Amino acid sequence: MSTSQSQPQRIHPMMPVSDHDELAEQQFVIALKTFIASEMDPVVRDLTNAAVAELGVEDSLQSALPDIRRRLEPQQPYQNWVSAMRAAQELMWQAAGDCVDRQRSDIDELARSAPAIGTVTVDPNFIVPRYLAATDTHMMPGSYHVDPPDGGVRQGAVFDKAASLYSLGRQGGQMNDMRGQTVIAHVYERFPDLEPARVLEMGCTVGNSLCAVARAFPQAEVHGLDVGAGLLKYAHARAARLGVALHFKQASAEDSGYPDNHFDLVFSSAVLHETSAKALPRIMAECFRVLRPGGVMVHLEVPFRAAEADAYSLIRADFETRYNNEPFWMGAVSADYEALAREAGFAEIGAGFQDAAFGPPARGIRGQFGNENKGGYKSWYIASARKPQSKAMA
Amino acid sequence: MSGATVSPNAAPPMQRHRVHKGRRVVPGQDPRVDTLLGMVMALTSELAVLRERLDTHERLAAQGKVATPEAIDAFVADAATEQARAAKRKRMIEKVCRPLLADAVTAAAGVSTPKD
Repeated sequence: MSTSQSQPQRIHPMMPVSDHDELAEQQFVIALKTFIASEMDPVVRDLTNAAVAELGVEDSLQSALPDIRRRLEPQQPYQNWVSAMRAAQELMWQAAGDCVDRQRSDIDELARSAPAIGTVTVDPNFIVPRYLAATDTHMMPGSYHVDPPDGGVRQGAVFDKAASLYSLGRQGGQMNDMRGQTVIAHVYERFPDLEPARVLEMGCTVGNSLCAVARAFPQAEVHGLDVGAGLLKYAHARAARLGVALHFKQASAEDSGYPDNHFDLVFSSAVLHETSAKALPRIMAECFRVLRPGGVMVHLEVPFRAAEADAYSLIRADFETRYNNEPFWMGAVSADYEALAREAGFAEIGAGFQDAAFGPPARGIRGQFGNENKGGYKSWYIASARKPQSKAMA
Repeated sequence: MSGATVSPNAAPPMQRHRVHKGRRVVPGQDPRVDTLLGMVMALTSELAVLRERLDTHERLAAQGKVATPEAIDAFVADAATEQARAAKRKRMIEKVCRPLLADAVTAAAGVSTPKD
C-alpha cells in the first residue's frame, strides 16, 4: 500500500501513535483551523478595517487597539470568530490528550527505559514563574508544568503531539525543528566564527529545536531548561531515543542556576512572548551572566512587529494575548530588543528577520538575515548579540 | 489515582487536564453561545470520525476484508482516499459553519444599508 499523510510513520520513538479514530479527529481539527483561516479570518479583517475607518485612526494603530477591539466585541461575527478559534484549539488539545492518555503507561515506560545518554534534573521545590502559572499557555490544559498526580511524561507527550498539529506541519513537520534550524542559520550568518563548546536553550519544551542544534554542533555539550518536570523527562527520553545526548534542567530563564561565563551560545525560540515585561530584562541579564566573554545570545520570536502591523494583524495578535493565553505577546512584539541587549551589556547587537530554514542549513550562505519580513513560516524575527571580550570593549 | 500526593491547590486531575486555566468570557457575548458553539464543534468532530470509520468499513469490504477493530486501525488510506475524505470533511465543516458566515453577511448588510 502506498504511504500517505493518513498514517504517518512514527518519526521518533517517543511520538504518541494515533489509532484510526484519533487520526480522523486530528485531521478534523486541521480542517476546522483551515476553514477558519480561509473563511472567517477575512470577515474579521473587513470588520477591523471598518472599525478603523469609523474611528478615524490615522497615526498609531497599536495605541488605538483597545478602541478597535471595543468596536468589534459587540459584533456577532467577531464573537463567532473568537469562539470558533477557541473551539478548534480546545479540540486540538482534547485530541492530543486523548491520544496520549490511551497509551500513557506505554509512553511512560518508553521514557523510563530510554537509553542512558544525556541527563535530566528536576527540582521538586521549583516554583513556576507567575507569568506561566497564572494561565494555561496556548489553552493547553495543565500547560507545561502541571503533571498528573502520579507523575509521568504526559504533558511532554501531549505538547509534542499537538505541536505538529498546531502549526499545520509548517514548522518542520513532526520533528518540529524548523525554528531550531533557523537559529543555526542565523548563527552561521551573523557569527560564522562561533564553534560553541557549550550551548543552552531557555524554554526548550520537548527539545525539538535543541536536537537540531546539537546535531549542527556535534562537539558541543548541549543544555536546555524549562519549567515542567514531566515535559523535561519526555524531552530527555525523546532526545535519547533519537541518539542525541542533551542535558535538561527544570529552571527559570531569569535565574537558571548555571555558573557565570559558562556557555558559548544561549538561545530561545518563541519563548520571550510567554514571559513578562519584568522578566524580559532579567532574562537578558541572565544570558549575559551565563555567557563567556565572546559568547553569543540569540532570541527567535514571531515574525511580527507591532509598530509595522496592519490593524487586522493587531487584532489577531490580540486574540493570542487575550484568548490563547499568551499574555505578553503584544509586549514581546513591541519590545526594543536592541536597547534591552545594550542595557544588559551586549555588543554586536542585531535585530531583524531571518529566513526560515526547513532543514539543516549550510555554512557560508549570506543574505538570509535583514529587514524584510517575508511573513509567517517564511521569516522569523531574531535579536542577537555578543558578550564583549572585556568590559572595556562594551 | 488514590494514594497520590496532591497539593491542596490542585484541581481534580481529570478537570485540570480537560479545561484550561484562564478561559475568558468574550465581552458582550452571551457565554451560552460560546458553550453551545464549542459543543457543536465537538459533536461535528465525532461525526467526522464516525463517517471516516464507516468509509474504512466500506473500503475494507470492497477488498473482501472483515472490518475488525484491528483491520480498521491497520488500514492505510492511499492518496486518492485521503483526497476524497478531505473533501467530505471540508463540506461537513462548511455546512455546519454556514450560519456563522451568514451572521457575517447579515452584519455587513446591516452596516452598509442606509436607514429609512
